[in-house]
Parts: sequence; structure tokens; C-alpha cells
Amino acid sequence: MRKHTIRAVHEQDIGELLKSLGLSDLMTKGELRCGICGSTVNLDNLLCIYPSKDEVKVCCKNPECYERVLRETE
Amino acid sequence: MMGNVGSTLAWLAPNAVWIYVVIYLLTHPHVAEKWGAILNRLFSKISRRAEMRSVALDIQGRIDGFSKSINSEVSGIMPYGVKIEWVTGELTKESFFKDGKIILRMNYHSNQDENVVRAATEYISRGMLSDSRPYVDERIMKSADLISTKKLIEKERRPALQFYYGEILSPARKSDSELDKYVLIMQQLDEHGYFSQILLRELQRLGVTMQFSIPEESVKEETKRFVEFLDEKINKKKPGVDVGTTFVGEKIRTTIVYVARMETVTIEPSLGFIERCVNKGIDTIYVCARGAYNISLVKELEERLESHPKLTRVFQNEVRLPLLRGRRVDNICVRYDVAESDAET
Repeated sequence: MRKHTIRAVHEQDIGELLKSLGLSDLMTKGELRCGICGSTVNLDNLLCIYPSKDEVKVCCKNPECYERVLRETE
Repeated sequence: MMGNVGSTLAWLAPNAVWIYVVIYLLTHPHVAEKWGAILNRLFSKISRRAEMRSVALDIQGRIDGFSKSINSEVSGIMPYGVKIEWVTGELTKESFFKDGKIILRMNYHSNQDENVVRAATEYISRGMLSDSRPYVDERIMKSADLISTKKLIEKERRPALQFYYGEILSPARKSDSELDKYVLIMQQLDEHGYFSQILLRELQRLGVTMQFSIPEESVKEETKRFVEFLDEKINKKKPGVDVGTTFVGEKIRTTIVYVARMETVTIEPSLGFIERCVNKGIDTIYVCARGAYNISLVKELEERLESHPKLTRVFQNEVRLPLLRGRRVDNICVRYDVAESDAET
């Protein structure tokens, strides 16, 4: 059976990953925003990280935002 | 010779259970994944890798188990299994863009309810009916996703339902009243046993029919009308009305034949109805019944249709429905494909 791959980052690696992608400082300063609704994203409400053109964007836990990310990254 | 057989049997006897277990796990990989998750969980406190494996295998086992069961109802609805690929902190921007995929945040296995819901949401919205999606009305597709995810969680991780209702399903329903309407229609269809057997199956067929065509609004509109038709003819059906009912669209041409004591005491009216449909350019005929007596009528009907030159029985599903008006009821749905002919449409 062919597999659909879900890329995931575990809670224990999220800090490192944000650092590698250059998002850690923005989050500390409270300047990291959801790419869909624009709300401030922190470690409590970060759901996913996604590419959008040449930018690394993040999405909050709002299900509507996540659904739009899924559609945009199809 | 006899000695060889004897020694082979002597070896096999004590190991038979193990051989059975190994063969079972090889042929049921989703069960192996679930057991792998449990074993890894034992070491999750002391090993980082075991924690991650425990989370990933548990999700894979549950999603693969569900896709296997729904594919056994209607093959090809969920053609893919699932694989969780972990990204570590060392990922560079270059490889992030090269892969072009979203990275979903997963919690520790102690929050596995949330992990399963998030992964199931992504899997269903990508892996279910992947060829049909461009041709289906957006709200219809989203409603089908929501009900399918609910079914997955219900079957594979019931405690996660509360999280799913609170965080995903209820907010989605509240935010769009039309979507809410379709979610309720599909929920009712599922209670009747026809959500996957008829609706998903017809949407899957649409993907095959339309393959590589440019998506058109008229086709999307047709999927909406089809769902409303199912609501009218199945959810709101009154006993004693209609032997069968037909939907004739541009792409979806389907007949549902009810075999029920209230409608008929013999199968002759159903046979006559089917015969008329065959000559009208219908693509698929579903013969449905509920309850032991009506199911026996369907079996009689099946025998009579066995040698029909234009009908191919492609699927038969007999299930015991969950509680319907306080009692469990047996349900049957037989699908026939109609061979193309000089239709009179």
C-alpha cells in the first residue's frame, strides 16, 4: 500500500526547529503571527509550520486556519 | 520419511502459536503498528526515540486500520496508508522549502488524543477521495471530511471524540450554517448505513469518470443536488412510499431500490423497476434492505439477477447498524454496475 506522509515535529524538538528556521526570536518578541488569521502565535497555540512562496509561515490552532493551510499547500 | 514428518510436527506443535502470530502480524500491519506503539511506550520515559516511535506507530496503526476497514466497504476510497516522518531540530530552511510540506506539531504520547485528531484531519483531507476532490462542491467535501474523520476517531480512538467535537467539529458547524446542514445530512446517512456505501462510493466514481477533466461548476453543483436527493429519499423516506428512486444527473446516474415488506410482498415490483432503470442509462443500482425478512427478499432478488446480461454485482455489504430508534438492525446494500447500452435517456 502506498503511504501518505505526514511530516511532524515532536514537542521535544519544536524549540530547536523554530531556531533553525529563524522563527525563535520572533516568537520570543511576540511578533510571530498566524499566516492565515494574523493572531500572535506562541508555544501554546502553534499548530504547524508551512512554506508559502519564499516564506516560512506558521499557523495557529484555529481549525479554520489549519484547514486553509491544508488547502493552500495541496 | 515418517520420521521426518514426525519431527517436523514435533517442532511445529509448540511453535504453532508463534508462527500464527507472525503470519497474522505480517498480514495485518496496522495491528503490528499498534503493538509496536505499546512496546515503545514502555521505554518512552528513558528513550527519546521510543517516545517518538510510540506516537508515530500508534497514529499509523489507527489510521491504517480505519482505511483498511473503509476500503473493505468501498474499495479505493482511501487508497493510501499513512507514515509519520519526524523532522528534527536540525532541519535547514533549504530542505524545508525543497520538501514543500507542512510540519505538524505533535505532542507527547500522553496527549495522544490531540495527536490522533490532528493527524486524522490531515490524512482525511489529503488521502480520502483524492481524485474526486476537484470535482466536488467545497462544502460537500468538507462535510464528508468531517464525518469521515469522526468515523475514524469513533472506531479507532473513542476517547479522542470529545477533543474532536470541541476543537474541530463544533467550531466548523457553528461557523457555517450551510456546512452544518450537510454535516447533519451525512451523519443521518451514516446512521442508515449509506454514507460510505452510497455517497462516498458515488463521489469516488465521479473522480474516475472525470479524471483529468477541468473541474466545472455544474458538476460541483450536481454533487450538492445528489446529497440533497439522498437526504430527501433516504433520511426523510416514509415507509410505504416508492419501490425505488433515481437520480439522473450529468455525471451521477444512480438508482436506489428499497426492498421492504411495507412496499412489496414479493420481489416482482423491484425486478420491474430495476429492468426499467437498466434501459434508462443508469450507471449504478443499489439494492437496499433492512431487517431479516427484507434481507431474505434481497437474496432472492440477487438470485434472479445473477444471469442478467447487463448487470454486474460488484459489491455486497451486510452490516449490523448501530442503534436505530433504540434497537440494532441488520442492513444490506448490494451494488450493481450497469453495462453501457443504447440508452433511451
